[in-house]
Amino acid sequence: MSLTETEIKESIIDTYTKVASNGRLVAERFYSPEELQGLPTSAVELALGVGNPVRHAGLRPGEVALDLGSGAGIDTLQAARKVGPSGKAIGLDMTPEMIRRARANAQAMGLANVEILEGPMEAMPIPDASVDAIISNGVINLTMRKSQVFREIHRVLKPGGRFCVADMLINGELPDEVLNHPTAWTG
Amino acid sequence: MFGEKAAKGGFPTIEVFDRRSMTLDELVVYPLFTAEFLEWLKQSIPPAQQDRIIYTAHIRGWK
Repeated sequence: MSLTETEIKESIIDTYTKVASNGRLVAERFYSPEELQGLPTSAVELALGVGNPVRHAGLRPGEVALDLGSGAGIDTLQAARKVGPSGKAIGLDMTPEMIRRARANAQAMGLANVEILEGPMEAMPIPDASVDAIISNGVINLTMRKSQVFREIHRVLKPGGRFCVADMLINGELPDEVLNHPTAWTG
Repeated sequence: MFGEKAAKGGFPTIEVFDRRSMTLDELVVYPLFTAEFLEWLKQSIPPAQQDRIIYTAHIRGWK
């Protein structure tokens, strides 16, 4: 029997609420020491992404950046440093515990240009044409409604805006028992 | 797969770069997966597929 969208979301929220740090293993795989410098330990040790979209997004001072599935904030905080005090970095996540951690991490860094919002990426609480660049790191694979996420990305981007997403993809067909295992949908 | 989904969302052209294979053994760095789950995954996916079934990539698009 296939998992429903609600079951998958509940499983993701439960997993990301309980997830424990795995040290710096993931962060050191994708970020340089310079990029990690100055970030709170909690953000670095809860890096769960699969790439480094901030590095490739071409963020400039004064821009508005949006991080889909911001987690504990490692990419949102780096985006905030890139866009500077005249810009803004918005993190969007659906897990209250991760939102709490990201807000605490932004506060610890003294960043006033960070806003962390709660909501689904399939229906972002973001105005139309208000964002210059969207980043996301290992998150869009978690939704069953990927086309809807890209429709939302298109809606909130300004004309000429761009997205840069790092994600995990499947090359071929996974067995049904894997596709229907809740844990397979959380990573 | 993301190309088709992005096109439906309004991005007919995307750029895919930095594509890398990820083996099942590499998933161990992610605390989202238990050792038991990873072992089950290895038993569920044919050995010939295990080193190439998952890959990561960066995808970029413009409005």
